[in-house]
Amino acid sequence: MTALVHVWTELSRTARANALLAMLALGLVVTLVLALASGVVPVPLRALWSTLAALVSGSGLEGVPERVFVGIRLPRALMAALTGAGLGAAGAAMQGLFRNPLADPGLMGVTAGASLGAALMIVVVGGQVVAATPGTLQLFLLPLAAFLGALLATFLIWSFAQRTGAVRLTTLLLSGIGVNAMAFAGVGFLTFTASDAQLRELTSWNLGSMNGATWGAVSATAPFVLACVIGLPRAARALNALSLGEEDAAYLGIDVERTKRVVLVLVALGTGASVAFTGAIGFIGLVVPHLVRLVIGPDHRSLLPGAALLGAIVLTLADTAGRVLLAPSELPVGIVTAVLGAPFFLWLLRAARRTSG
Amino acid sequence: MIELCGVGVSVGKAQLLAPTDLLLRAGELVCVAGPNGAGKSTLVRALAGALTPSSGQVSFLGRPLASFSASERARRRAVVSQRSEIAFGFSCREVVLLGRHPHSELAEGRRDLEAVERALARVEVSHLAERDVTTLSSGERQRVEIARALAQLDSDLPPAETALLLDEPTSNLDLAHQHSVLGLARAASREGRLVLAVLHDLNLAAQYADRLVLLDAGHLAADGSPRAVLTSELIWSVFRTRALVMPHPELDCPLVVSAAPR
Repeated sequence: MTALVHVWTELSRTARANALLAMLALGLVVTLVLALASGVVPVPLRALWSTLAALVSGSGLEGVPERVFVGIRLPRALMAALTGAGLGAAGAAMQGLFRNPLADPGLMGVTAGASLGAALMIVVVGGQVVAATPGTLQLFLLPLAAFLGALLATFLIWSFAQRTGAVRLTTLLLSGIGVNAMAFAGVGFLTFTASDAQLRELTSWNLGSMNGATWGAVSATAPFVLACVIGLPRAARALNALSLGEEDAAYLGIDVERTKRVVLVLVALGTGASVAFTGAIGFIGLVVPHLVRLVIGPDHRSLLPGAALLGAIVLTLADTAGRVLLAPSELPVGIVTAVLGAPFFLWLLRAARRTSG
Repeated sequence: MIELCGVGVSVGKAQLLAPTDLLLRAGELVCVAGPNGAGKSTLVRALAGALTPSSGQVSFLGRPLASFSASERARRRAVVSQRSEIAFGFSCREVVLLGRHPHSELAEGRRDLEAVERALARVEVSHLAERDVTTLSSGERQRVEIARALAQLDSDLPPAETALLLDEPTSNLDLAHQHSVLGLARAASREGRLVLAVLHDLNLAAQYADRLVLLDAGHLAADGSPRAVLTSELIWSVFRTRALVMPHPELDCPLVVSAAPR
């Protein structure tokens, strides 16, 4: 063990980053298998393989475990992984852009903006537009609305952020409080005016839950999240340069304005789509990038994929824990992440105050 | 090489730099001095293309500065800003490697890594290469920033087509490192580059500058050799401070001794 630690510390940062990314990819596979196998209805590992084989070959599915697996557990695990990946990568990118390790889509109000967008879609736009949209596109309306809400919140926060040097912590948190309050007021008003059916849809994501994970939701979320997770690393070098400050980054030939726009849109994509079906899940975007940075350093080229992978792992584990701990009832995953994440945030805040004042 | 033609900078009603003509030549070490708020940093930012002048035009190598692409510009001139905060715990080597950005489209290659090591060695910070920049003293960080600028200019381009702009590069340095950084600045200018450094210490400027530019309230107050510029009268009119100017006992330059008001 000590020999292993020694080898690890002797590795260069790049080698360490590659090793961590490989381990995380492997970890994600293991986590997904674990999530698929555990729950109220036990699905034995053997059944997992035979079901996967049946899915691939297209033959029919029989038996309760198989149907639980394909109809419920598989989309749910995929949804958790997608959401976690989106939140992790979006958090890391946002911290890079704002040059502050405490910038988190939840704290900053991006998640709340997405909730407002989705609530507007459900309550105000609602029925007629959905009915007028061709069937397959209907599912995309909700993530699209959440994305637009997130985008609006992101640009609003950005307009408060300072241009020179690092964005000050107080500015960041105060503007987050403001945007959060505005969005929650909007969601509150919509909840107040909603019909019973709309209300049920609205409250399902107050706590953040994977309950609504269907194949449809997964297929509507995936393109948004994948665009975010694959797109963000392309801005990684620009984000690295941006940690010197906007002016110094521009001296290195970085198109700062373009980078900001691209990153803000991708962050809104990842956060918005994650929120649309699962609700506001806090702290993944804060805790996960921080942990990855601790191990491999702040280079965004490995930080962004690392945060996406670890985010997927953590959220899938948290959802599995929520399903198993109080079985047969279920703990919403948002509560699990908050219980773990909130103390971590407070600890981080104290550390940040010690260094930056 | 860099030419200002009637370049003025105003923000709102405040005039940061009055319309100024200035021609800076390759191979020169130009020092810029002046009281706080005289427009020194504004001048640097205008020369570097970080701000669009409200009037006049900046030319670089005979072409309008604005006509250069961002990366073309970044390969030809490096800037060390006055206040540089690095947000995350990059290692010093990684920070210097950022200077290679304009030279490497996708990923850095062996040439870039070699340029980084050379730059670290020239500024005598090789021993800090693996250190987290956020844990360095301000002086050490300033030297890492200078290494980053040197790495940025390390290329096959003729040195006479490159410029190094330093905004108060010695503000946090101890005596020995003030001289080693200005020694580097002088060496860079002798390679043929244009080097411009904003300095507060008139004696450092006197010793190192080929040419000294004094700014006062956004106006060019003097421009010439240190011997011509550093006179008691001019120092009084720009800084409102009594100063005795005498020949340096050892070096071939003036020596400025400031004195408390009588």
